Amino acid sequence: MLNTKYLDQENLFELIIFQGYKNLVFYWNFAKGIVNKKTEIQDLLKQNRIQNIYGVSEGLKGFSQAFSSEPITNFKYFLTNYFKFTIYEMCSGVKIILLSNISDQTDYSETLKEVYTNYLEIIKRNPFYVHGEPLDNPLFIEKIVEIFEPFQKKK
Amino acid sequence: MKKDRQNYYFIVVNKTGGLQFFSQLKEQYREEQDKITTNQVLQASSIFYAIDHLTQTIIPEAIQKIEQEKDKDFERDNAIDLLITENYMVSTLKTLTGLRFLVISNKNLEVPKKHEDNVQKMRQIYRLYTDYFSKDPFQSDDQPLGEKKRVQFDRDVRELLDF
Repeated sequence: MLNTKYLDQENLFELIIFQGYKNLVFYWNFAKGIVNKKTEIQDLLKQNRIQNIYGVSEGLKGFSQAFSSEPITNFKYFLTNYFKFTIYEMCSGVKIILLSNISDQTDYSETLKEVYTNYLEIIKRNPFYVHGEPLDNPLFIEKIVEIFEPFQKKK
Repeated sequence: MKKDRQNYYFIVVNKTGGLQFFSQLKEQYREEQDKITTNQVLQASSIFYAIDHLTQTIIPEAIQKIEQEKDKDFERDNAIDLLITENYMVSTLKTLTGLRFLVISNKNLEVPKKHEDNVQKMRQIYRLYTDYFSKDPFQSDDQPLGEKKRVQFDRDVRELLDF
């Protein structure tokens, strides 16, 4: 496999969290920064790219469930020539998606599971959080940055 | 240890998204209802074709910039090579003409090596494919095989994939 292709590029590109039907609640472009304010998220949603990311995860869900002998929520990851698409989806409709470099051999399924446990503890179990709102809790952001710190290349 | 109940499949999707060939290589069901129907495979293969096409739009910006400088044709070169779920893996080979071969098998510990093996086998099947489909003047492009030839092709595919 072509795993020496983009060695000089960053390991991680984007982290995206969807909640429910096409509801974007968190977007982190590792090169540019975190987007979690309501107006900026609405702008992002209008772009085709985010809609397509949602569409890809939903489409391949149908495909994966057809061939599975056991019931599953969604696939784990897929690789193309250019990038790697890892997803962690729960039955409640939360999708956590990571786009990463193909030269990076790490399996991010466990890190996405960690992101989910933080999401549960800090966001979902917070009685003041309204479902569907963007995730702007500073403790959550701190935890997420901490989780992905060791995977990013040090300059 | 869980018994290996994952079925093995081999699928050919033509360049317009239709199902051209389907073979179930290993059959093991709990009940008769679990058996996968041709309808389901038809739907699944057209979903795969559509999503495979869609992935060229979500390539990260940094990679897009590098490749566009080289004047890359994403439609021809971008394809889902490998898809992993909890129970099984899907290895695909996309040809220059847009034809897609899919092998659905269970996961080993060494996923990259098994993927390479699958791709090599699919390349051999591609050569066989040209004998049955492309070189036959009576076989119309993109259409599935007739009954007699399908059985022969199925037998040859099973031999190549060690079934």
